[in-house]
Amino acid sequence: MQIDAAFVAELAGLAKLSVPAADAERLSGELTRILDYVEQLQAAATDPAPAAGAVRRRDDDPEAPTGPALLSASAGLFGRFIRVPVVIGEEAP
Amino acid sequence: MKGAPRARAIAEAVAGGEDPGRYARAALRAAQADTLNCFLHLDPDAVEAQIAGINPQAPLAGVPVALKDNLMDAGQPCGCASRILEGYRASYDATVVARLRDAGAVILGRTNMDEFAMGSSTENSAYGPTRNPHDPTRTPGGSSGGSGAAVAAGICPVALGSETGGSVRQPASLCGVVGLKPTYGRVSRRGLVAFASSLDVVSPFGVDVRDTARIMSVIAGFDPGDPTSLDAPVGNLEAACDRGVAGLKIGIIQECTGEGIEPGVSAALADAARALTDAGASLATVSLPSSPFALAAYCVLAPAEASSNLARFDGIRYGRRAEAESLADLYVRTRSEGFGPEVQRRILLGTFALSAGYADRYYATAQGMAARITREMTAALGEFDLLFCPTSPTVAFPLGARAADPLAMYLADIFTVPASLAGLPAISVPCGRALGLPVGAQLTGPKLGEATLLAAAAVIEAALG
Repeated sequence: MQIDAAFVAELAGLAKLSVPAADAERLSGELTRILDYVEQLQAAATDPAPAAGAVRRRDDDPEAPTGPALLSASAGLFGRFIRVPVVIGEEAP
Repeated sequence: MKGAPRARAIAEAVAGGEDPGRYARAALRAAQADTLNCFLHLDPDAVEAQIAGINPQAPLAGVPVALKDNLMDAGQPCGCASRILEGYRASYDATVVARLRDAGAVILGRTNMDEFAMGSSTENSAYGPTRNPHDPTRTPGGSSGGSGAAVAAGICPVALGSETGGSVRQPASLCGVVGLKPTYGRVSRRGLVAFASSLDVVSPFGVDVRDTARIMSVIAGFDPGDPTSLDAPVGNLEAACDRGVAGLKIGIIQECTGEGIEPGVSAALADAARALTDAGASLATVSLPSSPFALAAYCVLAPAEASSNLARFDGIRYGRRAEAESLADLYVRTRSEGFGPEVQRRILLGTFALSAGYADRYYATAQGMAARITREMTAALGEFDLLFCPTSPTVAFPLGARAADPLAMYLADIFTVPASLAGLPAISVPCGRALGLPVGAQLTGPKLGEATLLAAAAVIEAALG
């Protein structure tokens, strides 16, 4: 599987990352080499993949912190809110 | 090396009236003088506050414990050795941290690691690599290299790391200490920053097998705060260390012998096999035909889960926030400036593996391989009590030797990944030296088989440790 620099840029967009052109060239080689290694799986016998969503019980943590303890971790804390840059009216990335 | 008093001896001394802060204060001084870059953060005031609350009769009374920088300790930094979490402080205690404190332990400080646990050398830390106490020009392994090196350097007798594909066993092997990866779900993940949730396991290091058993006894057990936690009794793991291996059948994994293994590592493993035989175990070769494909499956599954888990680091709720004019720009700038090269590489790889048109070919195939490896290992453990192989094909490698070749770095975990994919417990125990550096033998057991692992590791330790 060949990952060229343009494909790296496309993946970076999906992952909300910015990859400079010089890094994209390097990453294209690295990712291609890793995927070439992974390619050996195609020729190997595998079992059926397990069904998704195998969580055993409710994801319910009664001791989970709430409110101020969680808000305080934000670098954009503004009173009881988290300040973010303008959203409405901005162009789609 | 290994100069710290054992955890058992500390707890016994404190129970007998010794100053409960004596050993933690000594460990703090050693950590402050550390030149190996084991620690990212030390807080003397927090150490003193913990000393004041120690129950002298508790199983880890007065024992200093180092904590990997991806485990939450309320009020302390939790940065995963990443710039993106600069300034973040944990809002609650991980379950394992709460259990350690209830058991009288003193959390000593936060140890260095590969950023977000992605790596095998600690060279991916944003704060520089940790050095191996046996040879400071070499890596301690990773990703939990700071914890492994702290124990090997004699700063503390026990420490916590985390495993996803070998991140405690491999540094344990390279540093000459004991590292135990518990059964998936045996130890709560609540408060462990997620890398690949289906593989992540909080895992202890110990200066010896019995100290490892002691800390494992404290942290293991059901936790309603972790939806994957197993509700099963832990048993007396320290007593298990005296069981011996008489009558046990141990399978030597055929695919983990021969080519690619340094001769000195093979020789040390032969000594460990002989120790097990001399103690009454019977050893025979067993084939796990799909195990050579484990690393390829891991190279898809772990990045795929990481790309999803790390989506939460966007500059809004945690840690670092970049200057930006728009929300979209804030996301991109924060993540691009905050994540290091290896984390970005794995996010890109995971994004690819989960993308439309490729998910079936890569992600589903890797899941199918993991299922096959699990089936093969489970079948082998129906025939044998334990499986045996090297932890690492090499001794500690020089810093920088693999830094420019991601795939070469991933291959450091080639023998540890199968047990991770199968969710099985495994242990690395020192079994000698090669080129003057430690070698670790790896034993893998059936689900919830930690007691048998410790018993066999204790036999190897008694003969070769």
